[in-house]
Amino acid sequence: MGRRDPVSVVIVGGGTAGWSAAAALARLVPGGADIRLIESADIGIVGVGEATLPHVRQFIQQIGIDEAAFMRATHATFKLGIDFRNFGRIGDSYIHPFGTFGRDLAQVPFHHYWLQRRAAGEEADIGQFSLAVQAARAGRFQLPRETDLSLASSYGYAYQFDAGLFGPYLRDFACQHGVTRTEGRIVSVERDAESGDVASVTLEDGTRFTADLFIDCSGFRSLLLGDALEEPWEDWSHWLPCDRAVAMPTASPAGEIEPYTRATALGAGWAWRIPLQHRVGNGYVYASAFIDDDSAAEGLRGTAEGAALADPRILRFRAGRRRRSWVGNVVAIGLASGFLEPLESTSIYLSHMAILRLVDLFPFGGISPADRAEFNRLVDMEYDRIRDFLILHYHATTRDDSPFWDHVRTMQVPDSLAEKLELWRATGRVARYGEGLFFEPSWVAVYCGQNVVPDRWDARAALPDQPVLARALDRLKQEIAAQVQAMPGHRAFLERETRRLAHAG
Amino acid sequence: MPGSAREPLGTIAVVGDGPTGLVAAIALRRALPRCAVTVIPTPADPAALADWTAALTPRSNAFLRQMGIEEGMLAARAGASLRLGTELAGWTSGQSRAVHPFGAAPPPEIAATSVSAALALADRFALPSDDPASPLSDIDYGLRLNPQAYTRALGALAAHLGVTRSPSGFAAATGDTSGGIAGLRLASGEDVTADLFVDCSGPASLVAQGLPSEPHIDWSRILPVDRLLIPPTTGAPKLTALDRITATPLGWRGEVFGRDGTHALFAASIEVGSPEAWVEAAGFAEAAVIPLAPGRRDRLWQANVICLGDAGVRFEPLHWLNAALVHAQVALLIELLPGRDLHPLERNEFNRRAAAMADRARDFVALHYHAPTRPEGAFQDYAAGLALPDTLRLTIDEFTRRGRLPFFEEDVLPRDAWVFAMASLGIAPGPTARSVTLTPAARTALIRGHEARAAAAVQSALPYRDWLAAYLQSAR
Repeated sequence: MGRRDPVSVVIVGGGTAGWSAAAALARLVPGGADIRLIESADIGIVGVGEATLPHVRQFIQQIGIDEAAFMRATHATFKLGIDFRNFGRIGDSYIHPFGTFGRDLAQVPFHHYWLQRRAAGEEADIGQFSLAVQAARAGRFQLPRETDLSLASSYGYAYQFDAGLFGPYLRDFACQHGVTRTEGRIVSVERDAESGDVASVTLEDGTRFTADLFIDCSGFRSLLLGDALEEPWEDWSHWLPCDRAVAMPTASPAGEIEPYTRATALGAGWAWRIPLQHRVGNGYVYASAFIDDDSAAEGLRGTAEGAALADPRILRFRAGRRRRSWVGNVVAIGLASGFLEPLESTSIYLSHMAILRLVDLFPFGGISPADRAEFNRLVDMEYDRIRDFLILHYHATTRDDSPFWDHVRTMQVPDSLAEKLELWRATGRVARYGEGLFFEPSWVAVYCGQNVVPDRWDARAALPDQPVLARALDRLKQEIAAQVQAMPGHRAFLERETRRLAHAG
Repeated sequence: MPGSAREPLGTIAVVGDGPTGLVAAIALRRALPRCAVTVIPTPADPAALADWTAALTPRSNAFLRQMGIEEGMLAARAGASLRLGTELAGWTSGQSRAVHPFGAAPPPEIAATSVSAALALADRFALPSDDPASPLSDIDYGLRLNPQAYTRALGALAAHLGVTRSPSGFAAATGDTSGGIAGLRLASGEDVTADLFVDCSGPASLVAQGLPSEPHIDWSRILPVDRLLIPPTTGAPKLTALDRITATPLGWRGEVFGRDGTHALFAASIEVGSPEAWVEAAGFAEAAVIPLAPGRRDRLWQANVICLGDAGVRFEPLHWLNAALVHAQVALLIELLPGRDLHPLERNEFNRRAAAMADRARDFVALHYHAPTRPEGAFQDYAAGLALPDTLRLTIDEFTRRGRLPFFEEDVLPRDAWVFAMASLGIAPGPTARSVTLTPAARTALIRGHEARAAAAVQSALPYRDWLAAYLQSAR
């Protein structure tokens, strides 16, 4: 295992995906890759993803970014989960936390005992048994403990940040670590006649760049994978019909900063609310088949709180993915590879997941078909599983107040989701997979939060003496309430930690 | 409308009174203290490999503890001793010796001896530490047991928990009209019904025989061993932290060095050699030859019958994984414990996950026949010509090309066990981003650090014999 000739890499596109890829390769394959990133100031950045998942912490830690510096640079706040409003039915609200519910007892997951008490007319809200949910509801935050089995380690956290600032922050970081940045617009892509691989890309000024490996981070344009290699698009809009978003920042309200993202279901989609240090990001993700742009913008103005800081801006997208993400010597990452709406804040995760897979399969000594097959297998699995989880949010509803909700409520869902739903309804069990993004607590949160209550659950939940069980649940609630009480408010926590603040003092 | 908890299972009949059946009965009774669990004896079958396993892997430690089968009790009553791994002799070339230890593998960028292996090679032992700073946090151990004493100890524990043991043995199973089992007929003529039947009767799968025929998945084109030689008596005891698997040109010999005797067996293929030649290659004076048909039932849980152990999955006991697989599948059954209404989707979920466990154990065994420099021998030639399952091919390809081990759902072997298996077979990891970019100085530092860690562990450990004596003293 000696040192080898570096692999030459050209990254096309400088958004979050492009600069994340550049930074990760520079840090995780040091000396193993010559990295050039081509971006054009003329081409806008989509920057949909402002809310993240706990995985992003591992990513920035792994590439050696200091958390506080990163939060300061991106005006980040902490996030304990997502508050879904009006999804199961109008008036409902539940939090999908980055954390667990209750404690298992005698090897039976907690939610079976909760279902048992619920059937007895007690404990309607499973969120009362999640520290993350209760802290979010109370607007409080504290860093979790990481090493024990106590309540204080029963949750994780992510960030809500300004995606428009994340890219430039990563750019500075990547360039410090040896990535070459080239400004310019790509006007043509040349392919090797024999292999069909991309041989080079040419800029407006005639400069031509060759590489062993091209990483397509050009966003929806999918300049290399879609345009040049013509990899077919697999369309999922029949399950996920939202194809546009209108975004509009507003001023931060006074008072507490919510340590969670809001997702509020509207007539033809849903609206996000993402509180940052200096402003609030708002947007309405909608299906253009069910509502026109002006009405959507009107709908957003109607739900967004606080003074608008800019005019509404419209983004277009479609749900689905390229049939393969790695073809020839082109790996597409981010929107160039596929898109799933940010209902569960998965956009940045999908980019980072693909980047880390690429690091694992980094083609020292040449690309082999096996690398591509393995990369595509792993990426497809992630997309498919997240897709099913998103579809659940739409399908598990009793809403019949608009054609959009009639459509998603009655549509035929993928078999892989139908089976999971049926298993849950019949037995209260969550199909278990060790790999993938969302585990049992996430499925339980959405099922219960959207009123998909099983007909039957584990027989063992009825075995304990019920008054004893009721007292144990009461004690757990009290413990959680006491812990939440001891936590500082989210704003107070941020202000205490001035290293994390963009505008300290 | 709120639903309800399901009516719990009221009666369970476990057919087979070896360790597989007894462990299942204990686990079920603990999970459902009001359920009538009955164990129905079947004739002891030497081909029920999961029942005769004399060695376990570390994964079973937590499982047994969870089921209230305490290690101290096993030390006092089941001849238990502790092992740090297995020596593989002759698996890569004529005189090769390699250690396949338990515990954590060294950093992947360096080829080094793991802490467990260092301890074992020094013939020393210590219990693992919970403190990640301690080098002893890198080690782990498995149990050795005396199968007969283990069976007796489990039987006593089952009785203590209120598991009923039928005085009369199994005679026949009667099918019902819906594709399940209506009841069992005992040798006494008595009939037994139950909500759920657990077939632990070994390869005869006596209960499942009463079901409509179920496709079997044949592994005989993947795993070479279809004959086992078991000597009538155990060999002399030997106190050591390592057991041994020796490859010979006619098959492999396994030796578990129990503190009460050496439990040996020889594994061969009908395609290579003869019973006489096998006995000679094994070094046994005499031995019974037992046929083994490697494979598994397509669905391990069918209608109201769950097949555990050799009733469901049969494969050669390389690394003694048979009982480890049973423990993983019993834990799965307890996790997905049905109510009286056995739901088909729950059955599907059990079958999906239980099959994934079995297939991965099969892959782990099959890996051992695909060393890049295999020793000369007719058995090795035959085995190397067998089929490589796609999942194993992917594992070997990814490891040799990119130094990574792809994840497989429900793998019963921890990742480090795969790393150790690859190392013991001389399968080198391909370049990774970390290994390629490591500077020589950093590599040296990594090796030094690891060597110091291993040396510190050896220093702090006791000679195996002394450690075991103290352990047994405290277990009494």
